[in-house]
Formats: sequence, C-alpha cells, structure tokens
Amino acid sequence: MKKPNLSQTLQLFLWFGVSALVPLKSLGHHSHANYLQGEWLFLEGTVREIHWMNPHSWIYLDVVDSAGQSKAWAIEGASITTLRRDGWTQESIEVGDVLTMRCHPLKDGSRGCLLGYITLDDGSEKEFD
Amino acid sequence: MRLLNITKLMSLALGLVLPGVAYAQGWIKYVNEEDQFIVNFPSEPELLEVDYITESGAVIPSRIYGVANENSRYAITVVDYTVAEQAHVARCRRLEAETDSVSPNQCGGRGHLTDIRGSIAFEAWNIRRRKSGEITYDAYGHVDGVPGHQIQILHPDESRSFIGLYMHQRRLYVLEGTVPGDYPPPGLFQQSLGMLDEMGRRVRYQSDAEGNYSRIQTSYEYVGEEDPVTGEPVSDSSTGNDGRIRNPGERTGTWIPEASARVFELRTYTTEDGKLPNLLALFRDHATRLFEKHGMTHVGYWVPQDSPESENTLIYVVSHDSREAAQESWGAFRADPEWQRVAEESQADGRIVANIASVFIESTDFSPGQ
Repeated sequence: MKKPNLSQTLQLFLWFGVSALVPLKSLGHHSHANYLQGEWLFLEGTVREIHWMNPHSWIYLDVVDSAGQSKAWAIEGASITTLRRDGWTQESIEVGDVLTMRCHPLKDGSRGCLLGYITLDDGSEKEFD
Repeated sequence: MRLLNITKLMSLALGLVLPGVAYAQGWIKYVNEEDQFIVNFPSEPELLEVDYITESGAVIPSRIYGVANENSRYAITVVDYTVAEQAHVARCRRLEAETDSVSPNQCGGRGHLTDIRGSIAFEAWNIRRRKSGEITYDAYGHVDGVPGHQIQILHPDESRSFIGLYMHQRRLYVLEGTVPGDYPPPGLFQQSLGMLDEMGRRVRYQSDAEGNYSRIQTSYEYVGEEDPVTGEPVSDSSTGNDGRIRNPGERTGTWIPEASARVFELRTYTTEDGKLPNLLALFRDHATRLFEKHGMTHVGYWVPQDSPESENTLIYVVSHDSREAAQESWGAFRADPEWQRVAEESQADGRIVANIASVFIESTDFSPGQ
C-alpha cells in the first residue's frame, strides 16, 4: 500500500457508481441489507485503525470531504480467516497507509461502507470481502 | 424496553476512557456460554441484571453486558424468555389474587408464546418510542441465519446508535452501540454477534423460502483462542469457561425457530365392529372443530386402505405448541360441554371406540417440515 503524503491525505475521491459492476460475495456472516449493494462508493483515505478480526475485519479510514474536513469511516471487510485465504496478511495494510477502495455505502447515509475492493500499488483491485 | 435503565448502566464507573484518537483499539472476542453468545467488545464488559416486563406484563430476567466510557457505549442485553411460561403463570396467579375478575384475554391462553414470538417486534417498538432521535434505518436483518431486526438512530447531538435484535433458543439479544458523531459508526459491534448452542459451539443456519431451518458449518465457528495473525485456532481444540474441550468444527443439534417449536401427536383409534362410520361422523361434525377451538392444529386424518384395518381404524396427526400445550388443549377439549354432549350421544347404541393410542413425535433434522 502507498505511504501517505499530505496531498493524498487531503484529497477526497468520492464517486458513486450506481448499479454497476460485479456483485460481492453474498454468503456472509450477517445480512448486508443495510448497505446499498447496488451502488459503489469510491473512497481514498488514510488508515486510522485496522482490526483483523472474526467474524469481520474493519478498517477505520480518515477521509477528507469536499469541505476539507477529515471524517472517520468504518469500512467492513471479511473475516481474518477469509482474508488470509485470499492472500491478505497483517503486513498488507498498516496504520498510516493511504488506501483507495471501492465499497457499498450504508443506506442511512452514515460513514460506513462494505468492501469491496482495495486498489493495489500496481493499480489492480483485490477483493477484501 | 421497560425497567431497563441504560443510563444507569452507562454511568457505571468502568474506568475505560479511551484515548481521544482511538475509536476501537484492542477489541476482544467475548464468549458467554451461559447466555450462549459471542460478540466483540472494546474490553471486558460489566454485568447488570435487570427485570424485564414482556408485552403481556410478565416479569422475566435480563442481563446487560456493557462497556461504556465518556464517549461511547456498547451493550448487549439478553432477555431470558426461557422462563416466560413460568413468569406468565406467576403473573396470572398474582392477578387472580389481586382482582375479582381476570379477563380470559389476560390469562386464558398461552400468552408466553405470544410474548416469545413477538419479542423482537415488541422491543423494536420500545426502541422507536424512545424518540431519542431520527431513525435512519429500520428493517430486517440476520446473523448466522438467525432472523432479526436492525435499527439505526441519528441523535440530535450527531451521535449514532446501531442496534440489532435477534431471538435464538428463547433468548432475545439486543445489541446497541452508540458513538459520537465524529466517530465511525459502530457497525463493528453491531455486526459481530454470534450464537452458541447448549454445548458452547457456534451455530449458523440456512433456511428455505418456507422458513425451514437447517444448521450449517461456518469457517469462523471456533469460539476458543485464535491466533491474532491468522485468525485460526491456536490448537486443535479449545477449553471453554467450564473446562470442557471443544473441537473446531464440531456441531450438533438442530434449531427449531421459536415460532414453530411445536410437537406432533400421532393418534390411532380402533373402533368396535362396524362403528368406524360413526367415529368418522363424530370427527367430521364435531371433534375437528373443537380441536381447533382448543388450540390444536390439524395436520391430517387418514384411514388404512387394506383390510382389516380399513374397517376399524382412524389415524390422525395434530400439532401443539408444546407438550404442556397439548395437555392443556386435551383437558379443555374433554371438559367442553359440547364434546361431552356429542360424545355421550354417539354412544347411545353402545361404545364406538375400542382403543386409542397416542404417540408424541418431533421432526427429524432431515424432515422437510418442522
């Protein structure tokens, strides 16, 4: 993952891709009904905390909004067991990294998002769900 | 939720003030075998035991496991409906002692079952009528296939509450996480619940469109200590709080949803010679209707095709909400004046039934109907 620089951390990349692309894996631990699974939200931000856990891992991401304010987001991923199986390790993402990702936003407009994909250094996307 | 004072819970001096820059560092996996759940908490929770008044007015115990600090609070309330029937009986006895006339609507039926089936809806109503803020989400949800409900609230101070309600094995689980407006929403807590079976093993279900449930395995059903790096079990087995050894992936038992936790009764009637038509008429004209009146559910009625049973045998299956309910239903049926009258009339020319056999049965885990 990219290490942060000031210009990156102050940038917000927030686009909605409505009814797009390939659906996420659907057999999760819990219902994902409270997420807009037909929409994609593109986020870039700095990792504040990362919790490698079962049944879900979570990334707390500081994202700068259009008003220049940094806001903390809760990004939900798969279980640590699944992530390991998919090739992720705890060294893959660390606090302070800048991440670009594609995720499903919460229906209620709060700052939560269901992964989705994380963009790697080579520009490719890797599933985090 | 009545009688529960969350403010009191949150005012407990927990000494767990988190640093201002850390939202959730150091979360732990909390396993409670007594109340059969597993959940992620920011630290070891405190316990508060509180009485809970059900929708029918019965008082049952609840236990709140909570972690609070000046900014955030996380609590899971376990409302123990396993004692709902006893609580309902106690309530009715109290009412009978206190008042001259108790309405049949208060104590005449099996109110505890209504309480259990309606527990999620009732608690969701309690949450809505707090009017503590704008409800931003209010819909069905499930964890591990256990059906429930999710409510999310935006409070006037911009703080947010994420709530989940689920019923499993007659325990209502209410998770509520509340964080300040500048925190990430508390999905980490809300979405971390898992249920355990009576052996302390994690459970997961799949269901079909008809609501039939079957237990399935999950990759994260291990409840013991995990390797913090890999998330895998640290050994091939784990020791629970009670010292028992459990193996990862072990699973037993089946879950029967509360709404269909019924028993079936197979009854075989053998008539006196030539009296089968009389018995069939008695059932057709009276008994089946009276079964319904007294809470039994018809499954089916059959006569054998081959002789000699085809000439003297009636077989039928009814279902009951429980064995206790069956006993109540049969007692009420036999005492019903209409039944006593028609049964006596049917024997005006002599006894028509020579023998009755009753067997209580339950569905197997591979049965398509539960």
